[in-house]
Amino acid sequence: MAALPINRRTLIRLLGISGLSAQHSWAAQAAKPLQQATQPRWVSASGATKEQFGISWAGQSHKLQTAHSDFRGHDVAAHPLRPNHALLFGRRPATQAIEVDLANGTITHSFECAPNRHLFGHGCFSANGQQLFTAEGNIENGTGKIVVRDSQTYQQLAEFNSGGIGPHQLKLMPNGKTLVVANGGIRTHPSSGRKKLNLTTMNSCLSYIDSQTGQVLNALHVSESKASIRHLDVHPDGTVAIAMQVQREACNHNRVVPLAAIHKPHAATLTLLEQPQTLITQMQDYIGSVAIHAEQCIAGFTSPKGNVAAFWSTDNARFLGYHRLHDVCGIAVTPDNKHFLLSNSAGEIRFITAKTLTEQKSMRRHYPNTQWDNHLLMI
Amino acid sequence: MDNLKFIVFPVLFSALVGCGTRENDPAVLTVDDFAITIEQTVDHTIIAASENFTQQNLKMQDAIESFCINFDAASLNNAQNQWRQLNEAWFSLANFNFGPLNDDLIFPAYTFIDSLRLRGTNYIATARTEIQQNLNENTPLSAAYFNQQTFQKIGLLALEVTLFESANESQSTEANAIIADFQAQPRKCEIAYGLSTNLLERAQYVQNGWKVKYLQNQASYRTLLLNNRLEDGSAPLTRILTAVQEHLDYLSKRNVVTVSASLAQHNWQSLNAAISTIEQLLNGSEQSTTSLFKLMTLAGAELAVNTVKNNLQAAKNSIAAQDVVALNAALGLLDGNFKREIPDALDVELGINFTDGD
Repeated sequence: MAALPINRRTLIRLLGISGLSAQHSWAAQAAKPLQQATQPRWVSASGATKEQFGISWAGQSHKLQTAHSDFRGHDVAAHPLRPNHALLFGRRPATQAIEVDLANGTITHSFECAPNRHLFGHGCFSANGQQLFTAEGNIENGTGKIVVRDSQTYQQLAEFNSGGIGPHQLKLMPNGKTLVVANGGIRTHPSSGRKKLNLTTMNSCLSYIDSQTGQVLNALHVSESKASIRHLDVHPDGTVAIAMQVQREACNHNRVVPLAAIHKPHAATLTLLEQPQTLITQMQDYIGSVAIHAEQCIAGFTSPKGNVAAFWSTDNARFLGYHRLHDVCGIAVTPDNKHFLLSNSAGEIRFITAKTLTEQKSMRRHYPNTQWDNHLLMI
Repeated sequence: MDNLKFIVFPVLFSALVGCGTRENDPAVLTVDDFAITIEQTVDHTIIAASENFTQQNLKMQDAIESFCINFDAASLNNAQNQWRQLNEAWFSLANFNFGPLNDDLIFPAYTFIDSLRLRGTNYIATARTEIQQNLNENTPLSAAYFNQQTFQKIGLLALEVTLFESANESQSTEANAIIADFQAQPRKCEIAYGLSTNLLERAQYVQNGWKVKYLQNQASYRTLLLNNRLEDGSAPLTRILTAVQEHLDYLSKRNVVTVSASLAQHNWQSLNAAISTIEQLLNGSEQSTTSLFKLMTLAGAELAVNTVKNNLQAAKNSIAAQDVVALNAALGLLDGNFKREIPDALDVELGINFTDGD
């Protein structure tokens, strides 16, 4: 008797992943909050000035709320063991992160990096939610670090090398043990702010690291040495989508450089998303964020410099479509898996139906005087 | 709402609108004044640039027709000079690479006009090969044929190659050789006319998009822009300033003056057209009663206005001196002005991710 063919989408549905996800990565699902709010909210770093900086959240049935921070945040993460709590990580080269109770807007915890360390704006939790991993840098020598913290107290437990310089976004792989880290390859120093100090020698890589031992299991590079791997998302099947930013000022050519890639489990190389070149050109060497829709096997990428969100298949790397939105950067998948959610610095929220990649204009939301920053989280 | 700060500026601006106010009347600059300025900027500079590009294309067709009847040096010279005027008109319009010009991210209209604009790649070899193939083949050179061509094979560059050098191995730029080439190969006139017609149609498409109907909308891009109804949510002035900044960035980073219009030897003049149009965008045209510079001044940003004016003058000086290094330096400064001084003075949000991403 012949076995029924089961493709990956069917497998995902059978596993019931799509209906469970509080976030769009397997890792986040593994450590998802114990209780979810009945109505989903979108959460993001926000603000354009020091007086405005903070974390903001809202939803179809939630009014906009903001908890102010003294620093500009970058990414946010849902606390897996504290329902309705989210972490805001300081944007590089900040040293602070805060935990906020989204029910009342109270900052419940905060932590600072150890001396001689700074954050890169990202962190993720372990599969059991007991540990927090943050991407950090050694200020003195520029070495990338993954710092392990107790997720209740934020006390530092361990530290290991990230496998490169400038670790940025990191996530847990579906096995619950391996971290995948985007090492941007660019060294910065708090004394010189965001100035890039090593453009001539930069060396970006995607590294896989054993989260328990710190051993670097694998490291992959792209052929363009000036392409900085910054952001990533993980599909439940282990496929990783990566987003890059090209340091054009350091390039000695004007060729179009792909800004996105897919890494299939066990593949020796990255699959670059090279077409269409006109659209990639429009992105102006810059992708700011990426989110994978697991059920549809679609990776969505945003380019605020190109004012566009673009979508490729994670199955076959085929280009699927685009949506124009001014200064779009935040992208997430709604908990019901129906939509990609996009945000921008003009306070706009747009819903893109995942199956058709068409916008649901009736669902648009606009929050005047709110600037949704780089990343977006559905919680 | 953006630009609200203008409502509360108690300023003297009788010179701004020029009517309805008495000398020494205290006045308040309102959002309406801001809207009028944007409207005049769009009508007098951007749409005017689109209309001029169409007009120059019409003249280009006429010049090619005339040359292909006469085949003499004067007619060739006229056609070549008209291409130069057309290229200047393009450089003026190319400052505003949004809306109808950038109507589609996969096959944007502007690439079919100027293949260089996409990423600064010079496709002259491709254009030459295509012209040679078209001369050697019997394919009907219809409008449909040119419409099906990839962007590297048509547009201003292909027309420049057709008009400014012979299609034989010598690639001579001598008038006699070019005329002889046209006389010997009647299909070369068909190529020139076909390329010109294709350019004209694209110019008309862009102009129509600005003034009549844009894509599937029931309105023109002008209407959508001025009424804050752009699909991507951009505010009008954000869209305009960002486009100009991107053009300045392209002109300097791709070192366009060293690549563009090389056969026609009209690179500096074309750059000058781009800078002059940017100056008009900020300073207003002869028809304008107000301008972005005036708004900036009224907002108390006289220093910024002077800075931008100085940088515009530096760009023009470098063009006059044909100094590439000085030009790129001035373009870089102007690029920065469109990112910082001008939007700051006008209280325009370009976007936090756009300006300082991570």
